[in-house]
Amino acid sequence: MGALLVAVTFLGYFSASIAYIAALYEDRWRKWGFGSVVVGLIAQSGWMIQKAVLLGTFPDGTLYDWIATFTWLSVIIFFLIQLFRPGLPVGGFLLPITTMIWLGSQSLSRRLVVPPHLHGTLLKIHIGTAIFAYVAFLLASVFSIMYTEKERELKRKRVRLFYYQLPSLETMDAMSARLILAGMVFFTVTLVSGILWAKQVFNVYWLWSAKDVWSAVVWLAYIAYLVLRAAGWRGHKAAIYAMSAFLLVVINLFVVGVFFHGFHFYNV
Amino acid sequence: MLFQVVGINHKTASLKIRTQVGLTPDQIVSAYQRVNELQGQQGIVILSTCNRTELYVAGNVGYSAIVNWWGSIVGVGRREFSDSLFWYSDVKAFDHLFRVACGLDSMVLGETQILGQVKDAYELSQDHGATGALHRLFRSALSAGKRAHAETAISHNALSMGHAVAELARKVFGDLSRTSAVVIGAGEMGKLVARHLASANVGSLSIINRTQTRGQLLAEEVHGSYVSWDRLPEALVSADIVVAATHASHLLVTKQLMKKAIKGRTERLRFLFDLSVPRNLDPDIVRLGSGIFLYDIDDVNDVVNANLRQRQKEAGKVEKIIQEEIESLKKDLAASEVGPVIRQLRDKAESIRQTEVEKALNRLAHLSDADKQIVAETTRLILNKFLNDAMVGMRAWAGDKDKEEYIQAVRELFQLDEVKERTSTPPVAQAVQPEQ
Repeated sequence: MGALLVAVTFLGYFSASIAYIAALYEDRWRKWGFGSVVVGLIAQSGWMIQKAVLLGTFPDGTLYDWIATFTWLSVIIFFLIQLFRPGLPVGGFLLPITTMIWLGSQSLSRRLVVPPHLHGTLLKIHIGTAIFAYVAFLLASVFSIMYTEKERELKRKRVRLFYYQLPSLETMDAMSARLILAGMVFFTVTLVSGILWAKQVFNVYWLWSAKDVWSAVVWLAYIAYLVLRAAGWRGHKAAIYAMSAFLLVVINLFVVGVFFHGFHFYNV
Repeated sequence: MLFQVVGINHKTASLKIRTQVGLTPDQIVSAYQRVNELQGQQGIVILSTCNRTELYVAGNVGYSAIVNWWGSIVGVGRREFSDSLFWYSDVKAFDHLFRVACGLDSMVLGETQILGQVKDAYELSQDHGATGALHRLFRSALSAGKRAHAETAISHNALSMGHAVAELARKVFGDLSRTSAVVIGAGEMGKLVARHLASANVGSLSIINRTQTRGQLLAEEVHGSYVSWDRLPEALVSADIVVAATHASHLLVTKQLMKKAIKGRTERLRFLFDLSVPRNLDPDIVRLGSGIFLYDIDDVNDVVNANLRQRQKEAGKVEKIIQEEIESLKKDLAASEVGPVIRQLRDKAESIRQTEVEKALNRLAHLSDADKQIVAETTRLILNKFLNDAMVGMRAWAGDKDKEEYIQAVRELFQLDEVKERTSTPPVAQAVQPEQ
């Protein structure tokens, strides 16, 4: 049953990605995309429920489950955007990235290794806020990609696709900045709760593991973004920065999280 | 019933002829007062705008009768304009009206004004009780027009230079109410752009012009402010949108000047339009910051052309809507041909039944009320059962050209009174509904 739900989730998200990219060129594909998203989302929700019942708690204890939840939340937010702003072509940008991240997670171990006595409220907050923070960073990078695409058309003076479909540059720039600000609020809570949890469990605030250090790097990178914006950074440079910063997030998940996890041993 | 349209438009006739035979509002009123001169007509709507004059006529009226009548209203001999006329009948006439209402037949593809003009023409005809059998056609056309604008982007994207400038600015800044614009030059192009920016709700609008009076005049018109020529460098500092449209033969804004103006805020988004030939803005200005966009007159023209291609793409979707609406109109019209026959047949049978039942019951005075009820009910059931197959059969004939003669045969066979039906317009809501 679980494997079947994973397969349907993949088919739904994958075909939705393709359909939403096609919808940039031909509007009628949008309804196919929407239908596929719904199918994928229902299948993944089914998987989440099944897993939650099995574990007796929300499935986010392993990196594999965590990415599934991250994907699920991203798609729900996308679904809400489509519901309220059906004309906004986020799907063609967001879904391929989300699907790829989720697909990447399929190679990860599914064994839960955090000993039960280490579980607690702080850990729940730590993991939960990390999901929200990363979803916000993902969306910010999507708006930045959209910004650069539309900007490219305007600069090249060959208006074609994005000129007609995407919101104004100013709007996308502001959305990206707002999402990063929101993401930073969550991510700061993630770090603080992690630090307090470490003190509680290991009796030290900071473990200097690769994951800790890299997460601090991500936090500093986004803080720098906010500082630079306050100093007048806008538009092109800000968009490139937001996209690059999200790469740090992806590296944190797949490179640091898998190969240099240190005390974040939830994936060994 | 025959539907036809006779008309001229910007494609078939020169402005001179269009002016000669175009109907003034007074002439349209007098035409509606003279509709009875047109033998056999069962509805007329006259659409007259500067680009087209079209007469929609329902009923068996000859083409030449319509043209002669038209000529007599505008006082122009038939020969003088008959070569410029187009004529369509039935589905082609529907198609023409639908295309007109959706803006597909307009000079500016997809423009919305014509839909309002079609609506006005229809309402004026209604006011004079002249619409007759054209009600349904015009209602469908208006709803097709509304759908075309609501469901497709046929009327989106600017097709004029001034409008395109405002649109391009919106693509960058979104809401223009927080932006400030400077228009250099109060000539024709400057005026056009300033007006479009003003109607796009630009936050602040400054007009710079060498001749003060002209600049002030435009500034007043667009509720902007006039800025004297020598204060151009300061005006550039706070400007998000700069439009240059002068006849100056040299660069008005050099790279140096712009560099000074944007000092310390190089990342800010700015849109510069150089609509002058030769250039007024140094093309190298774009290198000053990644947020600077500079479009010259050719670039804006390219956008207008791309927009036109977008509208042409949308036109395909509008054609689909038109086909759908025409199909449903055809069904409605067919049902309305059969509907009255069915109704008359039933009414006639019912009135005979009532008369005969009344007579019989008078002779059967000894029956109780309950028994009388049974007798009346029995006759009603006999009649309904007998007519049922005929009614179902006739409804199936609706829309079938081959069966039109059958409907006529039923009329003659049962001697159904059609005079009443023809002269009075049935209430639309009732007529649109097929008979139950």
